[in-house]
Amino acid sequence: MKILRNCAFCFRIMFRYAPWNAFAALVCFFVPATFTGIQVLLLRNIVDGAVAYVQGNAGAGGGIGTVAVWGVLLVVVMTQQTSIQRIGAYQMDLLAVKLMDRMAMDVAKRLRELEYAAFEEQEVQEVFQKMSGNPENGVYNCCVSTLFVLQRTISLIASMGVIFTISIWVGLGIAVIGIPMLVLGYYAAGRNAALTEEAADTRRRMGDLRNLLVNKHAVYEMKLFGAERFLTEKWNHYSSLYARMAVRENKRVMLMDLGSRLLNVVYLIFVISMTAAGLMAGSLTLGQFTGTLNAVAGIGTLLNECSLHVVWMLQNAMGINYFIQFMKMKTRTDLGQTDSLSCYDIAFENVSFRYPGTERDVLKNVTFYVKEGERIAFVGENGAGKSTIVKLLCGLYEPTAGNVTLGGVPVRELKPELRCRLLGVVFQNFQSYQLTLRENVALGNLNALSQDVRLMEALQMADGAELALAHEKGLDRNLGKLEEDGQDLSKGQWQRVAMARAFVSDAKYVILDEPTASLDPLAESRMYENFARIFRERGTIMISHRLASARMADRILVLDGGRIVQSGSHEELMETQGLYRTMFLTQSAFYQEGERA
Amino acid sequence: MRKAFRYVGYIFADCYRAFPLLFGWIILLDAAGVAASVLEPLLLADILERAGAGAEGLGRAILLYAACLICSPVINSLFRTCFRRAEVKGERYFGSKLVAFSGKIRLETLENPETLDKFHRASAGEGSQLNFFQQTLLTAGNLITCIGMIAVVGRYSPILVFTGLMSLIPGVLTKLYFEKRLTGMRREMSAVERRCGYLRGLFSDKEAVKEMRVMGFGEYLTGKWGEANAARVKKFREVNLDIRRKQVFGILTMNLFFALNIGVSFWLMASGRVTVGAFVACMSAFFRFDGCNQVAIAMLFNAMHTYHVTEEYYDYFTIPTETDGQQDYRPFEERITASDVAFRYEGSSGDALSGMSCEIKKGEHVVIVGENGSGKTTFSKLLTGVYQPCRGRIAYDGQSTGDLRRRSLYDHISVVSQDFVRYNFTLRENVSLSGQSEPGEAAAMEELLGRVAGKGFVEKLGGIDVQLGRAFGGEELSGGEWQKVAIARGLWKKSDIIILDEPTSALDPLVEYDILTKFLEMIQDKTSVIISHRVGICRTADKIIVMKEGRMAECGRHEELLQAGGEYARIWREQAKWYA
Repeated sequence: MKILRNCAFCFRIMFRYAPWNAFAALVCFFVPATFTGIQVLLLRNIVDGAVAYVQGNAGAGGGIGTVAVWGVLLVVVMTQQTSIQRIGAYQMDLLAVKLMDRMAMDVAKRLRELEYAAFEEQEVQEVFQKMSGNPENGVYNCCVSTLFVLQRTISLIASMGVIFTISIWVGLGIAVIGIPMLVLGYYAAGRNAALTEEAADTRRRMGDLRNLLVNKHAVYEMKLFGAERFLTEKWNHYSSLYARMAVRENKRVMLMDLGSRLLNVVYLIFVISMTAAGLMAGSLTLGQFTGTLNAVAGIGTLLNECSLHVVWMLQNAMGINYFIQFMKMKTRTDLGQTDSLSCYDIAFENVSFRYPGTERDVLKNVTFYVKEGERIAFVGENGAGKSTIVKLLCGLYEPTAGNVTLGGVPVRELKPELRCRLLGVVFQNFQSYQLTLRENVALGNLNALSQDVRLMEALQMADGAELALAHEKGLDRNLGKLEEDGQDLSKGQWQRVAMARAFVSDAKYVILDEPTASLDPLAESRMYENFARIFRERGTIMISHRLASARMADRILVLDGGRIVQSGSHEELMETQGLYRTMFLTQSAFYQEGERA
Repeated sequence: MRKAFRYVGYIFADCYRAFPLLFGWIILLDAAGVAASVLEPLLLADILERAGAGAEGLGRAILLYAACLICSPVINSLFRTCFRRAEVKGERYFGSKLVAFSGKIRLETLENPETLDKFHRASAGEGSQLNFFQQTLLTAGNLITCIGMIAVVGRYSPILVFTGLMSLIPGVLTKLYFEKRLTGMRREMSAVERRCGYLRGLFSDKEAVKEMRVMGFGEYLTGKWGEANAARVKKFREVNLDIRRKQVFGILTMNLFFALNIGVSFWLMASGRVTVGAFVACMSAFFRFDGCNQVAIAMLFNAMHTYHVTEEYYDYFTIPTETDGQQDYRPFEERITASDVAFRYEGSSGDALSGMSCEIKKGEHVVIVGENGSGKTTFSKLLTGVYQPCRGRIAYDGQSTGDLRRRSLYDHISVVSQDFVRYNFTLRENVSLSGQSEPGEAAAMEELLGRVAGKGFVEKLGGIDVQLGRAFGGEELSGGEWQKVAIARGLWKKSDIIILDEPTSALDPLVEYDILTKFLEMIQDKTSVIISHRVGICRTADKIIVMKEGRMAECGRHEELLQAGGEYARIWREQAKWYA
């Protein structure tokens, strides 16, 4: 049922995006399907006519003229069958182009309308994976395979119809062997799919191991530890496991295939003896004899193909599930209408949060206020909830309880454009875009896209001006490996680009969410210092687990287990016994004695 | 032509090696299939002639024809069966070959991203050998059948030989032409596709979506994607649709000749030049001819395309492999010396190390400090011998790493690498990977893990045979826990030299401190080299090597260096000031 629904879904899409091509393709697929039957009839008539003509019995076959007419018709049918099919295939190509063109853009639109929370869900990521980026191909394949199945079915019925007109027994024979053959073929093809499923885990293991063998870090360890043998043997183990599964499945498939062929052979013997007897007894004409044999020889192949196509269609139709799931995903609700504010204070009031589908509260009843222009730092151990606060502030998630407001308005009720103008963020896992350097920087503020001076200034502040200066194409150099003249940057260089993005933005608040993982502690401190200096007059929010970086903030908020446990300036916090003091002393322990020495 | 298809010989040889017996069977069956196809119209003609001439020998003729008709599906079925078995064997063979070869590539070569690219392309090409083999056989079989058919009709009239050939040759030629054009176009197309795929991927990548939403450049990227997609569509239209149109034209020509064939044979019969039986046989032959012709051309096309995929597989094997030394390593008693060592990564324009010299005595605990990019990690890899210096040498008591049998040296060195690997294996395998597994290891391993990661670690996970890593439904560890496992792995190996490259990743400073102090306790009796960003640990070191721009800037003990007031003192002060 689901299969039918999915196929119908695909057909609807096909007709929506390219109605005329779809219609033409349908015609071109189905009309020639009947030709196989017609061919047999024509062949019979020609042979009979020719025999009659040669035997001088002009009356019986309708004379040489009639034979010629049949001949011409046969030629037309034969030639037009392939031609029409080609035109059909061409129409499907046009259709594919249209899907590629229009549907892809609609999918992009849909992706942008999804709630952000969805992207962090494992299942959704799996859906994306399975859609593998090209849902239009899935839809296209589903349509094509369904068309094939329908076409083969029509061919089969047409051929059978013709055979029935020649001999009822031969026709009945097909019905008798056809069904088991179809079922056997279907199962044989289905076993393949079963194997794929059963072996999926083994295959993934094999892939995982293989990737290790070319992972430079793993190879380094392997060489030193002498573990190549261990890994290769492991690979061999899974590989032979898979081979065993495959051989076992193959045996079954082989048996089914042989069974189906055997049926076919039995049937052929039956038909040949029937028709040969008929021919010798004179109850069948020569034309009927050749016609029948011709049709029957093809029918085994047709049955076989039919079951293959059915399996293919089923796979394709099931593949579409993911796309249907995708179309049903929740749309975003953070598209507020408020587009101006009178003040820009941030307030978290009794905010609790847990990620959808999890049990643990990441934030527990968190309350804090940030005045416009204030410099705040969040510190705390990994998993204390620092990054979650940023996500909530950016309106990516709805808090489970409490309010996150900016200028008194819940952040998710702000217009997205306004939110972007207010908050500039450099995330922990900042992204490296394979675009030009210019674009990479300007993504922080697209108004500056063509203002070279501003972009260069921002790069300068991020200590990355030489990225542009040292290259002949300057800001327009391609970064990453996508373009042929593109060059990849080192992690540290990418990081400067990400920082430049923050510098080019003129947001009210600039937020650094530990984008410094690839830096040594020294460079990180320098970066934060630089950052605090440049944004002296703007509000900044800094997040770090290295306490040294937090010292330039006006106020430090200490997070522990999802709660704010301390708040105050560095000096204040050092005077009170508490988490901050403990952490600071541990981190500085290495240096204390040294200072004395 | 010769150069373009240089690997064809390899492919067949490899197929033969992968499944020698089946290889023979497959070729035999293919030949049998061809023979049956060629015989069929001849036998049919025989029946018809006999039927026309009265019933003499008709029964025997029908029997032969029936046998031939029955043979086809049986041969076909056997062929497919053999092929499926061959596929399983082939997959293993070509997979093992790739895996075995990958183990021999030099580490330096792997640092070059192009190598990885080559590997992925080779992986994609793996198994295509079988497709190529099958497609070539089918092409050959069908072409031979076509020629057989022409021979059959040629028995009746030479004119048919001519028209028959005419319907065969143009098809093959046009396909060859298209393939040539398509290969070029595909390459162009793949650049466009890559760009499009990349941009589209950004919209479902959660990190990118996060930035897009927060910084508001979603629309801009959508625009870019739109452009890229339009370019892709345009290219597709140009290439594929154009070729399709020409193909339709090609089919029409083919059909024209097909009609001509039938017309000529009809005319031959009508004018009494051939018998009715011969006419029917010709018809049957032409039908078969038409089918085989189309299959042959399609398969030829596929085979050529597959060949290009297969090429990538064999290209991978042209990557240079490691050359090993001859000498066996004799454990060093005195010192390791690096003299004027220079090193440059493949495809990089600057030296990573330039003139690095230093000395490490047996039993010393050495700390290497320096800023990002000063060559610390590179130097440690040269010390182990996995990298070979471009200039200068590294010697263990005078035994140069390049001359040593690498394996014999590695046996004495253990590492905890900066980019330690999170193996999706069991905890036991993750640790024992570094050494020989032995009976009764479980207790020792639990003890070791207890010391490195704390008492409750193994219990919390539920034993050492627990699967790690989410990829296969195992336990996912935190960054710090993974690192502890990596340290346990490094310590598990019985070595007298150990190298710890401290991770820079977002480890909690408290965790980092904890890990480091424990590690220091456990390596007291070994020669150790620790690479660290935190100059804080230097106070306990026997020797500090300060690196700058690929060479040693300073060397000495903590107090000496502080007093010297050089690079080390500068770094120390800068770091310490944050904690003043």
